[in-house]
Amino acid sequence: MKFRGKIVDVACLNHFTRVISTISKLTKSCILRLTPQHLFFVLSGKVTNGGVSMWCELSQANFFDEYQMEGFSPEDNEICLEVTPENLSRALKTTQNAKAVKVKLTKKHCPCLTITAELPTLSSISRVVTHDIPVEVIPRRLWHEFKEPSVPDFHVSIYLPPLKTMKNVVDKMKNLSNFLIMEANLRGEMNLKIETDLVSVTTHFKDLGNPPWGDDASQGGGAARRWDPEAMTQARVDIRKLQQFLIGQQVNPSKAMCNIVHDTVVHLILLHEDVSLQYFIPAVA
Amino acid sequence: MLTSKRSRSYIEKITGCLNVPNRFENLNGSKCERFFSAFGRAIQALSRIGDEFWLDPTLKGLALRAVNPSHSAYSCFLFSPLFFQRYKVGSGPSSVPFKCKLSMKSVLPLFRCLTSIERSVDQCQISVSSSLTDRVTVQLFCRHGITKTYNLHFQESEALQAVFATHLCPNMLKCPARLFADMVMHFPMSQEEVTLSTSSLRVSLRNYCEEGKNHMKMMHTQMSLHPDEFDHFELGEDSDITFCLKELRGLLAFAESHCLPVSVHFGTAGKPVCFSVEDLVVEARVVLATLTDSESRSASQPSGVVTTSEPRWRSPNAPRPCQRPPVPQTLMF
Repeated sequence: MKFRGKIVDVACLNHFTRVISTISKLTKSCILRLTPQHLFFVLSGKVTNGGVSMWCELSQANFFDEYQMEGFSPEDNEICLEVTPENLSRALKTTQNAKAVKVKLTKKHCPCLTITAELPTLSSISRVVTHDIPVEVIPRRLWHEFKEPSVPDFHVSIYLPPLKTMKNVVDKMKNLSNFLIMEANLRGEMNLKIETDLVSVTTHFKDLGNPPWGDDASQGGGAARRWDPEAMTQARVDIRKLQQFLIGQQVNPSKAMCNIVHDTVVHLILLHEDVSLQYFIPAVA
Repeated sequence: MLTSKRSRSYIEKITGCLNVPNRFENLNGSKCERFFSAFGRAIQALSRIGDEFWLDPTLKGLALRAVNPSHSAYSCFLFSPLFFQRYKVGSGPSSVPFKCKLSMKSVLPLFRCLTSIERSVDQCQISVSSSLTDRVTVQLFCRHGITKTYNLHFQESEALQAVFATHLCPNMLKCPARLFADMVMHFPMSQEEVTLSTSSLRVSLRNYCEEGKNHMKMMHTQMSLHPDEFDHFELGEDSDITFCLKELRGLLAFAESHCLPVSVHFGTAGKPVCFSVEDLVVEARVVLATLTDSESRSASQPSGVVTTSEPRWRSPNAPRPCQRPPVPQTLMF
């Protein structure tokens, strides 16, 4: 298995750093899947991380100026690593003004992703910074756990209000309750609600719009067609999980939407031209 | 507990009074520096070293010193009388030492938010008068005629003095504080120790990982640069020294905020390293013990911090300075 990539463009480096930083806010540890065309950051919904799962897809050509990889085998041309995004983020943050940043899979004291940055100086000789980030290579037999999740058969799909506004609302609500109810209907209305013995608070959003998913049954929407457009579908989620998602947002998405399966799961999607991030928060009773 | 009746009697004769102007026209009249914040930053830098520090007014200036509990780090800031608008050391016999030890906990809150202090405080007066009580009085004269007075208890205790002959060190580096900041920014604030390797071709800084539990999971970072980047580079022998970065950060922040060059004097592994800065009115230094290369330490080794016992490196059982008898203490470096 071989992997090496090089980022020269400052804007790309900056963007890549922001994506990694966003991911580092969502999870302590995740899986990095490298394929010839894409990089995927995956968190599969295990009980240990509260059932939350994540899927982040980056197209390598939009970030890397050079990108070479040789996977497990020609048939399974992929590399699957367990990484700590916090480490990646820290390494990238200090190399923002670098002339070039190289990322390479190396064998040091243990398998590592080595990030080497060439930093500019006043003289002609550059400074070099190397970060060896320990990773764990995931064996082929476990790869099946990190497949792309399918879009759930949601009842309602809705565009999210500005994430900053949403964050402010959720931050306030967190002081009052540990659980938040997300409600939405097919008329472009969404409510964020908390209910405790002492107080009920609801924030109403309207005219958000519902994304057109088309008639493709595989894209979900089967349940949505049967759902009464006026009726609210709802899911009660751990408020910290939602807050985590909103805090970490450093990528300004061109589209942010949310699919809700009644009492089952909240599926949040952020789309950017070259990045997509999906985040699943399971509903709790 | 260290005050005896006898020693108090001579303290009573001595009164010190210092005024620190917030904005002060330098003697050359060329630049206006924020002197009060310099003083505050010095306290903050010392707080990285120990929980207490010594205030030592002398004719040469006001010295602030601190040493860490395991005696592996020492720091001293000396503000010359020119730093102050008014500087007066009492007329006691000059040979009599005047030493007071203050708890960092009680002083640090005064200097916590330097930006707001810079805005609101016009003048600061620090006086030590022990006619009635063992107290240091800090008065902040603020805008709108507000005066804040802090009375801080001190313990009478001989100050530590680290004797470190920098001219005997085979190696010396000097560079602007900015370069040091660029070097250490690659390491997390929680990073304890770093290793500085120098050879005539390369200078590099890397994080030091203790063998053991998390060794495999740790991120290894190395930063290397060319000796030409230093203003001054004198290398007697190649060396690899490991010292505590946490205790150094305070001095680096102080140097950076005043755009002062930092000098490093050092030898080989196991011998202490000294970081120092100086300008017309202030001198500051931090002396840090470095890790020995091997377990076997030859008795003839003249280095190290004499007061610590094995293991030399941050021994939790090392005697704290306050528990020592009130005899003049000298740390030999």
